[in-house]
Amino acid sequence: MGLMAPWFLAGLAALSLPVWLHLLKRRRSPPREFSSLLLFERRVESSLRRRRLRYLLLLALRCLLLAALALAFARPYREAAAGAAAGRLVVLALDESYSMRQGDRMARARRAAAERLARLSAGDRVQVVAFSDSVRLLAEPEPDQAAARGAIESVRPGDGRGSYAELVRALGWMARAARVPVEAHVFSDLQRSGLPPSFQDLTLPPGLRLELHPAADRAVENWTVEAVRAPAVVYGPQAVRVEATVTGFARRPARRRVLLALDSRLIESKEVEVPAGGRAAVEFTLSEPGHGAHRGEVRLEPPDEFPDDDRRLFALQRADPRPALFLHEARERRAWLYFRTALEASGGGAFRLEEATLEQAGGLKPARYAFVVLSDTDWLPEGFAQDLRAYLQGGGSVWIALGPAALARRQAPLLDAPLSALGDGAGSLPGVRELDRAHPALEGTGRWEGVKFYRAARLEPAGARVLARLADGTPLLMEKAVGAGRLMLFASALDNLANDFPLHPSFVPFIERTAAYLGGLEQEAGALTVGTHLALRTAAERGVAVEVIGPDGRRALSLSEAATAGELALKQAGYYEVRRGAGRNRIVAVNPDPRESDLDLIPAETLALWRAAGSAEVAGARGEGTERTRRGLWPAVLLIALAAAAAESWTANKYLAGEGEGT
Amino acid sequence: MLQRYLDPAVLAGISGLDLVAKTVVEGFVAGLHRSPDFGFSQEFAEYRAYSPGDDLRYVDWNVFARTERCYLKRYRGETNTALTVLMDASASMGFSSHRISKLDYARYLAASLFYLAGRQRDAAGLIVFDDQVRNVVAPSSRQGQLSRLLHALEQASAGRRTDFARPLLHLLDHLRRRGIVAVISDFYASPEEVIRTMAPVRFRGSELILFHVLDPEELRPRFDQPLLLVDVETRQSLEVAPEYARSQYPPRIRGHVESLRELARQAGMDYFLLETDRPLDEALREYLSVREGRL
Repeated sequence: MGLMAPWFLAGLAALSLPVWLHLLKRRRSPPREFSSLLLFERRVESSLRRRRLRYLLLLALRCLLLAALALAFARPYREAAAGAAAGRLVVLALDESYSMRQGDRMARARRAAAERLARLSAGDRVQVVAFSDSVRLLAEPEPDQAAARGAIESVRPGDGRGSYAELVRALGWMARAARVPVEAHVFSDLQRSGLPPSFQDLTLPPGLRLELHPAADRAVENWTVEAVRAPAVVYGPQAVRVEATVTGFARRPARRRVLLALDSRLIESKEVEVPAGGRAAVEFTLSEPGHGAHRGEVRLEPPDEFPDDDRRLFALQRADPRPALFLHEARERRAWLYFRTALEASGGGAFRLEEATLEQAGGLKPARYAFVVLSDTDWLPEGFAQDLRAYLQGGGSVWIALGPAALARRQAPLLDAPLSALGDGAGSLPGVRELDRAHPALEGTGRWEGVKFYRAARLEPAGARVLARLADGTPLLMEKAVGAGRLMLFASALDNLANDFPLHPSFVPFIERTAAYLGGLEQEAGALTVGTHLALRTAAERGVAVEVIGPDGRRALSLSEAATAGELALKQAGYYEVRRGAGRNRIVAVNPDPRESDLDLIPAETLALWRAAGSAEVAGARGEGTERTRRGLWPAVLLIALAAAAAESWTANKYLAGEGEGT
Repeated sequence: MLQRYLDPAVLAGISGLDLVAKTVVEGFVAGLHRSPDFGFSQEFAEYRAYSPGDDLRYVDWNVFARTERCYLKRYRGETNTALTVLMDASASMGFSSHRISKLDYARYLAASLFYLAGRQRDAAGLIVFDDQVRNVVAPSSRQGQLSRLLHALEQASAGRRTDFARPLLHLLDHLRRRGIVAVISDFYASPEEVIRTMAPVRFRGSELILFHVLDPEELRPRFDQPLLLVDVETRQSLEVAPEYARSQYPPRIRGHVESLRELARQAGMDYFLLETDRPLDEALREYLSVREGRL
């Protein structure tokens, strides 16, 4: 016997209520006149005894009702031998995370699961599931052992990260759906890194008994390439720096050889000393990779006991810089100077800036450019303005900086909202107070401390998101979605007359980040992790078909998904080839979660605590051969409460009827 | 057949105590067998030797002529006595579990006794009391005495508490001749106190009959549930369980009755228990028996 929620027993305090009622609210008997009480003894206890007896019956029923309710909420259970529990559901959960590739862990897990399957009792139903970062149901709950055996044999180690919290969550809904006692057997290497940050996530649901079957009996020393940092895209003929981090999950230092390969061709190898339980960094230089997509790899030699994680993939692409247009008044070139210098200083080289005056804009096609900057323009050639609006609607990006010309005309290009001038240029405006530093354009740009603004425009277009404000609340940097495109609005000029921003260090990263954001560079990543998602298309590419070839050489998307899916869940490690048509192909490297390389096992005391969080504690204490399950007694207790309520009503009614007759 | 008219339930349907008394007594008399102990005419009773001081009017001169001895001839009708009824009209006498209250029953009994006494030309008087003497009709055999007595009985109603001492003192003050004193009460007092209070009457040479009137419910109470009993005289209350009323109270009331009976016997008094659902003839028989013994 036990209680699943013993704190509900505090409800027994409510028993004091009927006791109080019966002690202090005793009803008096009906009065009746009699000729003389001379011969009646003053032995009131004789009558009170009966009254108390009857009241005690009522009191006992009421106390029983309250006690049964409190007990039902405390969810009592009774333990019984598992063999006696007919009709239970046995869940065989096999770990298919990446770490199960080490040694014979997967084979041991399958063998143990098959052995447990052979020991099923008659009437038991069995369900086989495989889990890593998610849970897969391999067979429906049924008594057929052949199907379950086939499901067990089909389990192979994957590339995902093991998550015991996900497993417990899935076991929870299985237990709720089963409506019978559930016995879960987990066959796993019980990797410490698979534990969730909060132990609360491992709490087992009521009615579930958990039994753990370790597939690994010792912690294995392992070295792995934990991370590779290399640019996803390089623009132009330049050397590429590749940094790799080698991590040792071992208690001893080791010397490892680290090799860099590109397109299966060894580029360079280095020796590195990895401290015990520490990391070592290795840096390689790739001299001018060729045009196109490349498959890179950093691996360790010689292989250790877990060779699968000795390499880490990355993708590298060499592309031509994309053109960007900077449009300004012919007489004012300061902004162009500062903007170009800042963008070139950032070192990315992703964009090739083209300068044009308003008079030259009539012959330009905005669709050619990654983004367009309108620096203090108070008008636009009519044809160009129409093209620019269409460009915006179609997914293009425009950056508008408002300088003296726009302030003089009280109107900004492309915007219908009126604006007002702020500041006369003699004194500085209040400093920057708010910065949305989570925005990609402002990430890593500092706090703009000390930046002085002398002139600015005051406007706030409808639907615009304010990214930066002055101390007086004036919006300084805004972003507005126009159709599928982006419109960035800077309420001051990009020169050093309206402000001194170009003279501050934060100006360069601001220009670089904003250009990358507007040009769509932030979406490109060379290496991802299994379990994450790959963005397939932007809003501008809504109608474009995207085809993805997985690491196994097969299409990862169906035809309908290829036309509509916004992202792809990455389940396998390896290289994914993303084809967008017109030769715009891209390689994405996907690696297993590096935490899978830590083969340290969950400590025994943590496992005991996990079992204690559920029902397996008792089974463990009573020996391996004794399998026990819990049966909830709360329905029976609830029935007792109902019976007590009915009896209480009957007794109370009878009593009240007697009181009525007496009066 | 006429016996049924002695049933208290039947009597309750008769308006007027005179009619009640007449019905009871006539019915009772009609049922009597003629016996040497009972008679209601100027019948010869006995001869007694003359002793100095005897009234010469009662000398049987015929006997003297034949025997030359003086004998006094006594007739029953000439053996008149005085009946004084002390009727308890306390609040407890108003108790009733059926149609007849104890006070009604006492009224019927007293009226019947007065009627019977009138037929025998006995003087009859009445003292109605509770804790005070509430009405007094001095004993007399004059014409119209019965009407006065019955009127006094009609006027009697349940009053307050019972106190035997005051009516007894009043009785003793006015008791000029020996006779029969009938006390009709429920005697809710200590038997020793009742007998001690009544004893002086006996010492004066009068016969004392204690008519103990009780309701059947008082002898055999039946409760279905615990009741809060309220004493109609003292207004004290007591919660009584049915089990107690069924098992423990009856022996106590029987003990009370027996104690009263035994103490009365020891004091030379007559005691008679009357239940208000029983006919009155037994009470009349008791009275006549006592009267006969007194003659």
